[in-house]
Amino acid sequence: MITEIIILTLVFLGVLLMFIASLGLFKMPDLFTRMSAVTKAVTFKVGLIVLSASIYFNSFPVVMKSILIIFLLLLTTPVSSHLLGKEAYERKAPLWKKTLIDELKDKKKKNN
Amino acid sequence: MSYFEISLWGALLALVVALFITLIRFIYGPTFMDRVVTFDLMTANLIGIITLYAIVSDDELLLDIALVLAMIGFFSITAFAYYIKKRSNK
Repeated sequence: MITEIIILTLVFLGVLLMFIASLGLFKMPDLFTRMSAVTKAVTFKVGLIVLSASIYFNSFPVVMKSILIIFLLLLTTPVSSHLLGKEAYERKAPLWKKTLIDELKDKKKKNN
Repeated sequence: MSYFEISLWGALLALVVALFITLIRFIYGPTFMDRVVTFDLMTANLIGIITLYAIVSDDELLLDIALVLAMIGFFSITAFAYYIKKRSNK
């Protein structure tokens, strides 16, 4: 009974945050803001759902597998998003009209 | 069906709706990069769906698929970034 309630709380938190991330991907005006919405989703929300699975099955292999999934996502998603964002900036992806700070541009100006 | 199974099916339905919302962005995404970002979220969404289905159907082996999908997601995004870089250097 109590474990079921814990599992359901974790699952609903994960699903709610994932839904918010999809809405953010749909509504955000700009590639980089969209990317910021997605990256947080991928690391934390999937982690919550996988953690609920490890509580439900309650056996050693499943717990190790879910730890591996969470570790992989936590380690690899920032790396791939950083690569993608830098490539997008190099190819001059359009920024949002109301963007205030462009730190990479300022840095390049200083070096020149 | 107990309340547990019903609420898990509801969570699965919400995840599928979220997948369709990302699919709309995939269709309308103005540039190629937007589609790659969408692909990232779709992989995460599929991992969530597979894990929830593993809980609903009480089958541990489905978690292996989620594990493989997590790896493939990383490699595909990195490969996309690599080839976009190669294409822009020309």
